Amino acid sequence: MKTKYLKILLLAIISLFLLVGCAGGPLAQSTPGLNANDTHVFLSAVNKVYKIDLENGMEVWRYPADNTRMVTYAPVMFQDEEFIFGDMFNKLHKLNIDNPLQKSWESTDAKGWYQAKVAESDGIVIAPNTDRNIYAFNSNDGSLLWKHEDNFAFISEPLIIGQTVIISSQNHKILFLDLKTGNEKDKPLDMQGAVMAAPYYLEETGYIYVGSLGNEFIAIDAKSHKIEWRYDGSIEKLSGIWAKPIYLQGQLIFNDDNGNIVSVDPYSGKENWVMLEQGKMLAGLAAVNENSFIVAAEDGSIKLFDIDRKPLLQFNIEKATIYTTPLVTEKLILIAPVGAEYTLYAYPIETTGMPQWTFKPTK
Amino acid sequence: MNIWELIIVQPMTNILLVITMLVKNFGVAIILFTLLIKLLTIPLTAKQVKSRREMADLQNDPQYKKIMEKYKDDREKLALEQQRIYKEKGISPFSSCLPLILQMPIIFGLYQAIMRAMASTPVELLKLERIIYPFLDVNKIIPIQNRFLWMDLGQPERLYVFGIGIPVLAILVVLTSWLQTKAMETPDAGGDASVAATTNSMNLMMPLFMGYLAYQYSAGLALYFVISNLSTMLIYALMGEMNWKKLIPSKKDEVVSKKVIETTLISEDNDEEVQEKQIKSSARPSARSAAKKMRPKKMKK
Repeated sequence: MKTKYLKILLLAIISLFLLVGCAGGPLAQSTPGLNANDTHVFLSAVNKVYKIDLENGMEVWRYPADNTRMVTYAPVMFQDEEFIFGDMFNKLHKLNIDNPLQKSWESTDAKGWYQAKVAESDGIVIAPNTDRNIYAFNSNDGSLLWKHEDNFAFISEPLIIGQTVIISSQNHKILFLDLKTGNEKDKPLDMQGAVMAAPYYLEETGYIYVGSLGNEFIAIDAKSHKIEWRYDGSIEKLSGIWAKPIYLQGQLIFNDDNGNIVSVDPYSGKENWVMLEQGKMLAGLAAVNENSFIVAAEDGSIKLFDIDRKPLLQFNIEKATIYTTPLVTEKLILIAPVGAEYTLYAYPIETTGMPQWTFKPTK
Repeated sequence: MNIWELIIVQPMTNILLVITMLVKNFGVAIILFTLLIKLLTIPLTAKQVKSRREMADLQNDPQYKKIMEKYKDDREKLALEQQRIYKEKGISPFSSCLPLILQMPIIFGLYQAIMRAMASTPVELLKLERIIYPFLDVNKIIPIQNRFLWMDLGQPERLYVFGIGIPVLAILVVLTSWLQTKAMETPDAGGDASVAATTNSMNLMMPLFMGYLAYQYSAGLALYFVISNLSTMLIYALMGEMNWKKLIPSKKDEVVSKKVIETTLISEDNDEEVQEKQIKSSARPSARSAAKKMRPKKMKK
């Protein structure tokens, strides 16, 4: 009798050790994170962050270089000679750009995943987390300054304007928090659906633009936090909006997940033009130069349009599914698909559809 | 969307989401949904149990054993004789597998529906948004309230005690899976030591594997595993198929299991009659007989 109970107890202890010791990490389907400075692109994909030379696509380093367990999809944020990013092991890292082994700090305060790019202002790092908190850390030493709790996971990049943190909430709201204290600066703004897209600020108009899953795209006055206009154009029912808009030559252009692309006047919200159903897309649009923008659809098709909707080029990445918004640098268009032969494709700005280089992590 | 998604995963996900909307808690919805599916599959389970009993009874039948022994070197003849007995007794050897096979799509669908509904990343949320039926209001469904007790059902569960994250649900999954497999063990392995050893190692490995999944994946899945294990045990217990004695062992049991091994070792050398006696004396009780033994005790109370 006693032996049997001992066996059960032993089994429980062994399983605890096995589970804690051998597990590879959280499993979730997500999309590669991209960010670049003048010389390098930083790719967050699965279990590493890669620093890649923009000139030739060669890997400079990877972090972690060894088999240390990590899962990350959040794009890195640059701060001088360092960069900050969070992972799905609930850690936030601040590392040196040239040598990631030089760690400034690491925070383990959060209990959930970091999925979004963090924001920084006035020496304060704002990091949304899926444990329903927004965290603020001292940028110098990583100490926790404050946290603000809500009812749902935070998964989109925060925006900081002056002393106000503006953040999208899945709880059908936009929050306005004080940068220094984390207290609400203003009453949250009610939206018609969960807000997944990060807010976008245009200094020229003084408006913040954001869409939700509730068939809406709105402009909010950055000072009064009141809605200035709501899209009311020819598309009767917008689909879910997951990405930030872009601003090109006086036009604000956004897309929904059914692939409808809409250009509006940023001051009034009056519709300039629409392009219907360009393919299912989670990714946002990216301005290539002053006159054109790129659209990456889920099915791997990439289209280039000029500001008047004229198609300039269309090509395809074989077997690719694209969820990440393309990143445009001075000379390159960077696309990080999933399921394709390569993890990263770099096309010249004057692209013909042939990549300048591709990147696939070596084992 | 493929056919599997269309006819299994999408409807089940939507039912789960409707339950979530009604009870306003995803954890409670997972529990109710799992119980609902278990209830709906009770007829299949009952059929499976009935067939299993018949097969177990047949394997303990002296006449059947005699034939098995008699034709053990002639497979063709053995197969023919088995067919004849099955026909005579009206037993189909596959009838215990069929309900299980029929349940498989439902179990897989249930698992996938829960995984779908527990979307945590933008891609997963997008995929969830796309399979919600148009007549349901996406904006009332997303976001799903994943908070349940101390857990975030969309993420791997840990209970933090003094800063240490303890995977409580994963441990519960290991324990309930082990209890379930142990108490529902096939009543008779025919005294074959190698089969018994394989069964024992499977009984140990499967709970560990389930626990590993529960540790890695979202807490919602682990919750489903626990509820599923508990409800399966309950259903089997109500059908008299749980051998609780295996969980509360006695010295007598240890002696019995030793005898099984001894019997296996000497069986090849002994004559048919002796072997039959030993099997009779050492065979572990079938689930049915165990249940019978348990019933009078309950009545005495």
